[in-house]
Amino acid sequence: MVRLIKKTVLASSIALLPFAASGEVLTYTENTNSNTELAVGYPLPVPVDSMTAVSGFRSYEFLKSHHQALALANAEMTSVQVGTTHNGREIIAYRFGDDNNTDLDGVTEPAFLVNGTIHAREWQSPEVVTELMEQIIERKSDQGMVQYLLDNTNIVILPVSNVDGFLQTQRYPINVTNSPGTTAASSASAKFAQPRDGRMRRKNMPNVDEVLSTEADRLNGVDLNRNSSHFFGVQPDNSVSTSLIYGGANPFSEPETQALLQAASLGPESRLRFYQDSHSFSRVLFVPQPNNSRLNAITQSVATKYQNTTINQGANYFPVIDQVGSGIATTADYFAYEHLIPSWTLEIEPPQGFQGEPNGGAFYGGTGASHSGFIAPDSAIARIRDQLAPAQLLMFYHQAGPAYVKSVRIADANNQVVYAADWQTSGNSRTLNVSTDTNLTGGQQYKLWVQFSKPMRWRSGGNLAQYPGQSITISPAVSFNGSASGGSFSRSLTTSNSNWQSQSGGVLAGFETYIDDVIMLDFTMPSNVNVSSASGTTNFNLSLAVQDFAGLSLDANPATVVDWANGAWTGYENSNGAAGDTGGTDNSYAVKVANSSLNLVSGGGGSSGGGGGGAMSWLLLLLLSGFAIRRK
Amino acid sequence: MKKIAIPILLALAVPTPSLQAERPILMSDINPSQLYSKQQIEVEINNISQKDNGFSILQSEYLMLKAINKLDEQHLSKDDVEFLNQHTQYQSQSFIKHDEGPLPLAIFDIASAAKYKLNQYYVHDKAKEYQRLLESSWENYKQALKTKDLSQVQLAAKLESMNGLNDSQYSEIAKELIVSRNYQSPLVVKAVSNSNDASLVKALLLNSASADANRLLAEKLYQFSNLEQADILQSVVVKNKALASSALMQYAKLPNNVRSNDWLVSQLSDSYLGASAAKAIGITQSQNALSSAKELILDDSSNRTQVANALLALKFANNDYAKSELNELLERDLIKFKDMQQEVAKWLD
Repeated sequence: MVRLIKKTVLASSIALLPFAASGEVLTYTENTNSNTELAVGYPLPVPVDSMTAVSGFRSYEFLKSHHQALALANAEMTSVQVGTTHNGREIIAYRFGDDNNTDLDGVTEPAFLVNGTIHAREWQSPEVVTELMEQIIERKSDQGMVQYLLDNTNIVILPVSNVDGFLQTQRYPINVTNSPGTTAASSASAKFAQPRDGRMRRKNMPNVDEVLSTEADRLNGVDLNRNSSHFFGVQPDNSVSTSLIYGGANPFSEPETQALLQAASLGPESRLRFYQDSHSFSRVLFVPQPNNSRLNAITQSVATKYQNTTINQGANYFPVIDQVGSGIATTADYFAYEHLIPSWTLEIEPPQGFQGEPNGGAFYGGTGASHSGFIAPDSAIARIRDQLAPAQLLMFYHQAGPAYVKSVRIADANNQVVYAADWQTSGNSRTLNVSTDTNLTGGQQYKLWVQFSKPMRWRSGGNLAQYPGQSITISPAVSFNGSASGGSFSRSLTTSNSNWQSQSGGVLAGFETYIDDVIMLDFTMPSNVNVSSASGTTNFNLSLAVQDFAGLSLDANPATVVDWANGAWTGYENSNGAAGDTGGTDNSYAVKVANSSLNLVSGGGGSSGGGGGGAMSWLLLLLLSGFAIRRK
Repeated sequence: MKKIAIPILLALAVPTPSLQAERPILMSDINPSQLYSKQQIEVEINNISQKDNGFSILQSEYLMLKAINKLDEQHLSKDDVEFLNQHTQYQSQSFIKHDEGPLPLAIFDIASAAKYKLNQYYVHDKAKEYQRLLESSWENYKQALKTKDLSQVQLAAKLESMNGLNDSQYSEIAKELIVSRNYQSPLVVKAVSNSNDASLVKALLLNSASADANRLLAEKLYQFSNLEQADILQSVVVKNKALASSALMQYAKLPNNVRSNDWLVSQLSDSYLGASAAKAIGITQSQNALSSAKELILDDSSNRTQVANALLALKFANNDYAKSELNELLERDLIKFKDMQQEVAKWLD
């Protein structure tokens, strides 16, 4: 097979361009080293003509057909041609979401952009991105995370941006040409040190024919990951047209990078909250850091969550944090600096530089030969695809924004609603509509039903679980707080994991829109709160403290709709009502409890201590307090 | 070269600052003098021959790697093995910055090269044992192959030892290995691939999802008759989901007289494989199949999957007939799903 391809390539090259000067065509092999061959130590992947995922790398034609088939069959996915390559090929992006640009509250949706295959030789990239697309479609009706994302966000994925270059690498899956400056007489290590074109093409293909051995054009092309506007041309080689990192004539000079901007406009750009450019290899995230401390803190936090999920999946994608204010005109730099959103370059495995782990192709038991990390073996890619999808989906879920409490219902033992409150959204603000507000009685049994704006919990096999690699408190924290008889009080309700609802049913019966968007619990209204008069009522503020499964706390004040601007959350209040990036406890629901059911004290009794929602009679409490007074 | 390099290299193997395995070496972990540009690397290597008083770290590591690569893994001396062993733990000291971000990368991965060379040596050494066994007793050799592998080296050695077998030996060992091992075993794949036995190949392709099975599908089936290929490929499509899409594409390339276009059309209603069947129909360029696809689109009882895949068949055929049919379907509003209409319109733009 190896020999066959080599001969075919050489023959076709000579036949097509008989008068062109020849570069030296070199060959990667499984085990043979020579002056023109380099062993990587395992069978070399050759593109497979399969539309469905295989244990290997799919050919571009079949990947593209697969993407188009998914877009046709699923109304939630639409294709958009965002550009045309130098060689006249379509560049297609895919948009995932419902048929409107607003979330279920009518607010304009946030957007995320994932780019793939900007560097031609990085074959892991289109497979990983395609897996993400497949999982979104396969799980579109999951009544959980993915359905929520489709209803409330806009996901844009450009699986292969450097189409011409990618095809060139697949055309010559085991062949390259020699390093610049070397000749046939040079050592093999020198010739393979900076292999160019063929399987190791990185750049796009302006003024490049598709014949490998022609010398004149093999170094041409623009590094599409140096063709952005921020930090354009900062590296000396960015202006050398034959360099591997040639940045082009000017920012966004290339049809592929223009296509990326076009893909971003599908968000649209102003709604973007996350960008990932998917490369290989090194098993890290390169994380740009603009001079914006809030953005950088959020970005580092989500990058760590991403890493933790990958560790849980068996691979450690380590975030390498850039120096503040530095960059090299990558597309990740562009989105970080231009749009002030969490943005990074994902470098898919194999790892490099991790102590105790082999580098590049040696990670798979190979020789570790120069550049072998770009050639992951067929047997590895299915695992790689699976390991990365959960972390990417988590980023979308996280950057969709924190949850808020949408509705609260309290019903008595006869299932009659005694308190009903719903937040109603209008533009960028909400008002709390309390439609039922009956007095409650301390010591009585009630049912609490609270709906959140997103699915709050993750399930594995139907059972509540941490999202892979994340760690949150699964049971909700619910309490009643307030002031009474001269002091504040706080009474926690007993909650458990089983309060999360996985059965549908709606108000007071089950989840509302998504599995686990509701908690429901039976409780006894606390009566051990001191009041100075048996008449009237005391306000008990229902307090809800819950994190979503990505670890984002609630928006403590739903009255201001959470959004993203200038590199941080807006309208995202903490427990004290201060806007910021951490959220807190929502304390917005004042329930009236009849004083006659509470603990009557004469002359004020100071603040009440904590404790569970006991049902001790106020008469008994009165007797006990009287005893306490006598002891004084 | 090797004798000179050893003392220098061991001296250079200074432990790097204590690092957790959970993270890569970062810029802050190295001295700036350890970082080289591509140009500096080139200059340093070109200047090696001109050195008369010692080598730089980079040059020493370059020479070290060269010395390792030069060793013939088939014929290592005791000293060579010791030399390689010493370098399997070597921590590189010269770095180049990653193209995409602030990550120092070892310029020469000496430890990996040494490990690979040693591994190859052990494999060859072990393979020689199996070859001796093969020469002395075919039965004992077969038994050894069937015995559980204790290590990757042993498995690789067994694979290497099989290189000299003939077709009938491959066939015999394949039949016996299939009984004692599963179809994912590289030994089974190798034996079956070389057996030229259609029934064995079919059995493997029905039961394996491995990359090796994919290669077999793409590279070895041609040696069988068209009828045998058709039988194998149809069975794979029906029974092995992992290879089904690839098998459909191979099936589509068979001559018209052995291929059943009706069968391909019938696959369009498969929710998992229907799009692949559409691609396969496109490859066949069969006008009959494309006509059947169009009928499926016009049939009121067709579901979303059938309509989508039938439309895809016309798209993937990408010929004048198919384009004209798609145009007509669109213009006459014959595609019953609005979202599909929009996608088809984009194809025809």
